Amino acid sequence: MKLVIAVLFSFFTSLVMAGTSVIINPADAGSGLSKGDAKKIFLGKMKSLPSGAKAQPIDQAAGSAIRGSFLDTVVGKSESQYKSFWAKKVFTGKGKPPAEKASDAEVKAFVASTPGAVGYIDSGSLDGTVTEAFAY
Amino acid sequence: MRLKSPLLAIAMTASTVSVPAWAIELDFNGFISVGGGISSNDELNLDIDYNEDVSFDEDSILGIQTTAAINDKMSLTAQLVARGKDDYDLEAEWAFVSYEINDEAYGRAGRLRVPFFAYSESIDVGYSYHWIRPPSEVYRLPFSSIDGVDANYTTWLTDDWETSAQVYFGTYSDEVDVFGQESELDLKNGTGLVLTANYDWLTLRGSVHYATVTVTNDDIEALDSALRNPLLPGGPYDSVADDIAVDENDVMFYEAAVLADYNDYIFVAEWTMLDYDRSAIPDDTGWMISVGKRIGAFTPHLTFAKEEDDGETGFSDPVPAGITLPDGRDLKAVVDGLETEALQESWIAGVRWDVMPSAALKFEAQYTDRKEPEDDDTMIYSVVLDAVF
Repeated sequence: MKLVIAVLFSFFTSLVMAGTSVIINPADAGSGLSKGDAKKIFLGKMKSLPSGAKAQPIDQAAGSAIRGSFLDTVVGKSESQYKSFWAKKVFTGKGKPPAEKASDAEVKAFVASTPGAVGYIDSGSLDGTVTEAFAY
Repeated sequence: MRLKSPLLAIAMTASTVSVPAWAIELDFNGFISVGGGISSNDELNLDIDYNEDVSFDEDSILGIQTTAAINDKMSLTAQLVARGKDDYDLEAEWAFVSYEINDEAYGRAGRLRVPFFAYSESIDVGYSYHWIRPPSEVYRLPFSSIDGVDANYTTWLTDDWETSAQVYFGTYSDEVDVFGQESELDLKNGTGLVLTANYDWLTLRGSVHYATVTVTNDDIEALDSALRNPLLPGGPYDSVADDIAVDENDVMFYEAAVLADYNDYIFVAEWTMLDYDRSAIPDDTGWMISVGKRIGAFTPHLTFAKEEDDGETGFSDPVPAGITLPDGRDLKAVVDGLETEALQESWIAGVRWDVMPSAALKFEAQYTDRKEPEDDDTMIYSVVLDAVF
């Protein structure tokens, strides 16, 4: 019974706490990353982080809820606007869209091992291997 | 949307120590548009080639693109496009090597899209805009690529305004449809400058283009030699021949556009002007205004477009009446027929439906009213599915 209550409690806490963290590599933590920077980086309009490292944005899977809310909140575009934007860039040879990872764990592993990487994960998945730039 | 090359995977597996230096990263992308349409009037010959029977060639396109990253600075891009209206013959619209000088500047060499219009560079990729095709009153030039070089510079003027400049130089020659006839188009010294300023939801664009243009076909050549023949009654008519000839003419093209995408409202306005230095072709202007609103997965939109010439045909001397050419035709009638007078308006109402990520289904109804060269009108209905992969 205690266990059930504990599980329920942590479930509700995670619901209340549920937010998204935009994460960077600890090596880039010093100079941080603003929401405006993240928007520019995911649209290929900013090529380096404030730290100077080459920007490597990482998206979550198309159609996932966390990606939808990131595009809406940070980038300011719907999924189809974002796809149209990148289609225009790709087919004019002006860049390629961010790489995609399938889960918080994969995003975190990539960001943890790659200076310049920028990703977004559920705040509940945060740990010491990555640095939170900002949350929403 | 992107496929990592299996070559890279093989290369990486093959080397247990490190990725070999020759492992090139390849990206493959593609786009496709399939659809058809119908026009209410077979008599009216528009750039949009639909007629009274449903047909599927006009808007159907398949494109495949591959980009090979040679290193951090250099990449190769090739885009092959097959169009229904060209019997699906493969054509290289883009084939260039790109060199990134720094984060703000890059240069390209090879076959490039000429950035005549706001949507020129991605015009084949229907998925990237709201129409089935941009209005033909504005997007009316008979070619779209050039062989040459360009240089691009982009910088953030302030924290919010991103500005860019592009200059290009190149040549082009191809068989194109001019004066309603298959003609040899030869373009030299193609030079242009494009300036763009972008503030989040607002993009301003202006461009100016120059080229020396030569257009020839059998008809023009026959007419030219007939006019220059001293045996022609009252002839030779050298000045008329000079005015008709498109022989290394200086041609200028000007363009300005405003594109806005604010709170799901879309606004596009584009103005263009084609300025022939001399010759029998009047200068002409094409412009459009388009509005739309994104409502969930649907984007209804409405566009007005107009093309008109200035009516000045620029003959230095009057074309004499009553002269019969050696082939029996009346000189004045033939010359009049060469004048590409234009006065045409279109209303386009449509909806884009984003049926799933990467695919959009579009419906459009277009009313086109032409005053010149002939007075006629038509309704065109078309349906197209656009996708990128």
